[in-house]
Amino acid sequence: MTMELWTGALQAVLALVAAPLLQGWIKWLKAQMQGRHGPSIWQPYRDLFKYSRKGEVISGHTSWIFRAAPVGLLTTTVVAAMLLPSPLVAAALPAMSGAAIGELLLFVYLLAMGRFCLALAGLDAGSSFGGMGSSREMYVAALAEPALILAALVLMIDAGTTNLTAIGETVRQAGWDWWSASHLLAFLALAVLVVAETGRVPVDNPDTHLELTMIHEGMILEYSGPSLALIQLAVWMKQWLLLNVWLQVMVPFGQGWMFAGLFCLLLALVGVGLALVESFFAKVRIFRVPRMMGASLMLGVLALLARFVQ
Amino acid sequence: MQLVEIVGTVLLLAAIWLVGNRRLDRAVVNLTIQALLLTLVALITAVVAGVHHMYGVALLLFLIKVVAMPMAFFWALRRSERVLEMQPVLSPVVATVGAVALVVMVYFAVGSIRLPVPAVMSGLLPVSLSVILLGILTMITHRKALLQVVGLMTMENGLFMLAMASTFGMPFIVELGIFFDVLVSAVIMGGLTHQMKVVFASTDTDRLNQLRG
Repeated sequence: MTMELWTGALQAVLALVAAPLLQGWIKWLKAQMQGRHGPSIWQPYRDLFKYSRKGEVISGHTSWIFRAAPVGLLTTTVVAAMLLPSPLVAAALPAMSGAAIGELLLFVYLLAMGRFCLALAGLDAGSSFGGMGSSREMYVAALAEPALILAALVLMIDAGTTNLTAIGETVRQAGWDWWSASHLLAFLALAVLVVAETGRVPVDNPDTHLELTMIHEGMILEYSGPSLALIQLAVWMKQWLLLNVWLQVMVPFGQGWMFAGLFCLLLALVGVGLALVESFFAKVRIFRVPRMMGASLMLGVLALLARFVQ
Repeated sequence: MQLVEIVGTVLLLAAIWLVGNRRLDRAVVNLTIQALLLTLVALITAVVAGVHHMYGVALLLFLIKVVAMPMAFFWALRRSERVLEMQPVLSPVVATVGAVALVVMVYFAVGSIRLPVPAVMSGLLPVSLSVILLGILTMITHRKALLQVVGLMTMENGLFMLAMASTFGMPFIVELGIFFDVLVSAVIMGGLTHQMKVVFASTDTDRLNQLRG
């Protein structure tokens, strides 16, 4: 048990340290693709440092929920990070690999709990934008969850477990045979959901504060200073974790530095993909989001079909 | 042998997308993607089964269905259509749900069909049957003349895939006959669309339900 805690702590620290870098990378790429100079890759770290030194303005209409929410969000995200096995940690400490707790359902619902905290905080200040942001966030979440569970179910059934470490082991043993038709459909469904859950372009635009369209930014509009830093960090961590899960159920990573390097390379490539999507596609209207989620659900259903009817 | 199944599944996704699609030019792009995937299936079959004339079939598929036909379709589009937005019979959401329901039924029905398909190719059986039915669904739910042909070509893609799956490639002369059929139907489509445009000032097939003496 101690072993698992230590591995978990390392994974969480890695996510804390690396998540802003991933965000900076995606932002930098996007700027380059749009012909802008753009901020440097390290800007998210500077932002966090800047926020943490500033004072904080808290509306007199808020309750304790407003102050507790950022802490709750970051805590749930860090615990989720502790659950998720990482090829990088496995490469650094081969002795500890396989010791991650890695419960996939717990992981998903810890992230859902963080989202719940944030939605409450958005409502707490009583501003209309916050309420709108919260309601939209829950709307997207309610649509994304069944699709996510359905797609994950296919992978969990084939691995025979809900444990991410064990799923990773199954993927490793299967090698590229893991890529069957049903799994491909599940990966595609998960890709749509990763985009939705990270609040990226077809669903939400992470760069604007435009009143009528914002989801995530609407909820955190009232935050400033250290609380904002906590929230931003948690959100970037969530992005890192989701991309991690997606890659790990898809690609058979072995152990060792070669695979850790491959993992980083693929992560960077996924960043390129996200930046491309953000540069070439417009955000869809909020009432079109159910269609995207419906498409994802459809892919999940087809994945289950292809798995069971042979 | 999962690769061929994966490519087939992507083709199935393209066919589902076609049913809910609302734009004429995207339908042609969709058909091109389907043809490209079909070429891939033929190539994989050629490599796996070691049937040499399948390389020729793949080449012909590429030349006719990926290069020549989209060019002909786009040419017809430019001449006869000003508005690329279509008004299908069903809304895209309903059509897509119907398409998925159809695929679900095919997957369940396929268990009771006994076709002499080699075991390695058995994954392609439900996929190609679904593509055939989705082609019919496309023809039913769209009014434009071009979409009738696109639906027909989708059916043809499904049939071709089924033929490849069950026989590892038919005799070359049969394949040549099929390609000739496809090419002729594409040409006729071009002429027919143009003629409809001249007579009715529209390519809506609903205008074709009355005889005029």
